Amino acid sequence: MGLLAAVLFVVVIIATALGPVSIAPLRVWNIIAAELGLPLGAVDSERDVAVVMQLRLPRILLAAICGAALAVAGAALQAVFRNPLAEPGVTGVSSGASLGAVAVLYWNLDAWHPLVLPLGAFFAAAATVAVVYGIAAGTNRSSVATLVLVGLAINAFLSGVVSAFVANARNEQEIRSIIFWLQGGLEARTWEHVRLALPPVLVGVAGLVAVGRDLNLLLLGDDLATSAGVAVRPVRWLILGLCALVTGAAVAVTGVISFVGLVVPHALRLVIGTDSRVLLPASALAGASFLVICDTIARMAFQPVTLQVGVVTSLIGGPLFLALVIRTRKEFAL
Amino acid sequence: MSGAVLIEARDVRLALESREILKRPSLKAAAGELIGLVGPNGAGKSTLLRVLAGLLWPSEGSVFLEGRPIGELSRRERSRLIGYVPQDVRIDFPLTAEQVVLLGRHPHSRRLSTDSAHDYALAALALERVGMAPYRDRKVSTLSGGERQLVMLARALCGEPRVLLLDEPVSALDLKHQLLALAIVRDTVDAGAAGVVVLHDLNLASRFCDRVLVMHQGQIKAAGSPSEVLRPSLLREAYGVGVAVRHDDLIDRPSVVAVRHRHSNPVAVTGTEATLPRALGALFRTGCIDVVVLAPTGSAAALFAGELGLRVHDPGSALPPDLAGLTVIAVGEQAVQLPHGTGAVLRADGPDSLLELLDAIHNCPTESNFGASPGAASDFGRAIVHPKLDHSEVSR
Repeated sequence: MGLLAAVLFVVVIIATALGPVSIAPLRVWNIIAAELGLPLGAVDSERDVAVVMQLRLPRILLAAICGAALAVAGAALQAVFRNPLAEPGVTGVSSGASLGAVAVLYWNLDAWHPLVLPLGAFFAAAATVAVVYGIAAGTNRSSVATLVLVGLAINAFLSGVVSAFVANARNEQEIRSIIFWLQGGLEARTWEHVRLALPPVLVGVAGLVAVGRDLNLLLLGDDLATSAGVAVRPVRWLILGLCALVTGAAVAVTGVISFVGLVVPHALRLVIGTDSRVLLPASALAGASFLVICDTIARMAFQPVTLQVGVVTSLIGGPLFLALVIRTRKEFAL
Repeated sequence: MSGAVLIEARDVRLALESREILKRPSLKAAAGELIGLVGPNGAGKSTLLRVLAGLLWPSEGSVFLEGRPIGELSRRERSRLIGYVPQDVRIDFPLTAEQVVLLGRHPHSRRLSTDSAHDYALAALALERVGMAPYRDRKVSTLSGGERQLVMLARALCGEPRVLLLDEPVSALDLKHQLLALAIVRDTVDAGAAGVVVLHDLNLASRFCDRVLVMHQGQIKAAGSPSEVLRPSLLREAYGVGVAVRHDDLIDRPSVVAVRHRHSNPVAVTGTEATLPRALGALFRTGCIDVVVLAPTGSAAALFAGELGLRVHDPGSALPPDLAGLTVIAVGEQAVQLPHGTGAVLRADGPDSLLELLDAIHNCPTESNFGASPGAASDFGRAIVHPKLDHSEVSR
């Protein structure tokens, strides 16, 4: 865990150092420390300070926050659905959140209060997860295939609704702001976005980590979990609600970024095992590092063209997802 | 031996999807008592066990844990008292055997706490007891069904429960591990726990359980010691098979042999002490158990017929109305005593020709009597072509 935290720290510093204007990692650290009120060394260049503090750091911290949120939500959804392929993007929860965000933008509801946007994403995500769970649980034993099919249908349906919103947008400005959310990017994100996403993600991740043992018991099935003293229904809805909260918060500021919740927990399981009490916090840290790395690749790989971070996660996650589908039979004895 | 009643279900009713699964069965298990719950598939055994475990709530009737209504206990109190092992656990995630067993300590641990050294010690002990210690770090999803069953038993033991509720805990186990698992359960119960175990193997129930409950169509049909309950007629009714129950001196308990019931037209079979037992054995083996044995009360043949669950009638008294006109097959050449009221009398010289005759009678399209139709008579004629058959030797 300490190692993962250290990795995250180093990744954040290095990612901040990389960019069109190259700044030495040590200088980055000095700048951040100075901003935190710990003058460690001379910080001379006003330009570097601005680049680090105004351009790069908010974007990178946001990537870290969203990576943590999506990875934890993925790990938790996999346990609660008892399904290795569950993930916010695959199950349609992210699409639900993005529909909520788009609806808020379409009707300009975010003009009332900046929190309306994440709240809209959260409620739409919660509604989607309830629908997915209702269908998957209703059809016998929520098999792997059922969940994926339900997610597929929901993703298609929701993107249809979103397209309808886009087609009916009243002006180009509105289209642009909607598209902006759909693409799953981290461009031009500011401290405002960080402030918006951080509290719900912190609350949600902490809550999910706290129910780690219950998640382990849910893996054994409802009967054993109940007989071990878990209040299965309330706990399950709590977990699904927390997943909707963190997914909604992440999607509200970045749009849909797929496969983080799949790649990170599965990679970690190979190393640290399946105990959710360890897996969830580890997923948070590793998910944060993962998305920061993906975003850095997106920024740097094809300079001066920058990719959407969602493109990078999809390029990594898509093949992995297929590999998982193929391997699922063996590894998960399905 | 038995102490306070630890778990009890009283007249519980439960319907699932408008089908009544439990029709007011009652069950109690005291400290030091192991109850074997047996019965055909779909009898409601697992459902009753889940009601006892507090996983299903009966619409009527009540469940008591240590004398208190189960609803009055908190989730946590319940989970500390009860160790439940469901029929088949599918674990799709690569948890290790040790992790699964450690989860059995959940009722005793605080939220956010890590597993203590004590927990690990108990888990190691539980795995050791069921012989799964070498598999500690194996993923349960890669274990065989039997190995998984042992891990689930270890998980239940690890919680140090006072009540063990086990749903077919040995169904996937080999001979050695069946005996091991049930010996562990027996030891746990002897140490003061109460146990209810659903078993399909009646011989295991007979050997290991203090009391056996036969469940059929949502009700308890019989309850008592193995020798009180394991009776051919009762088991035949519950399972729809032929059942022989004999006292096995080796284990000093009743032992059960079942055969598939071959429905046939009822006939009476008689013979001498010399010929009848062998013939009855042959009948039982082939599942022809719709026979009435005519043998003097208390004779060895009558006792044997009783063990096989066959109906016995003393030839000294007239046939009761429901048997009047019954065809009789006499085995052997000696003269036999026949009661009043029998129908046609045929002779078979041994088990083989007896079975041939029964086949012929069974293939007969009419209800019970030969010769009622020409077709039947000719069937019959083909089947009994046998040099030693001679109707005239029968005495009345």
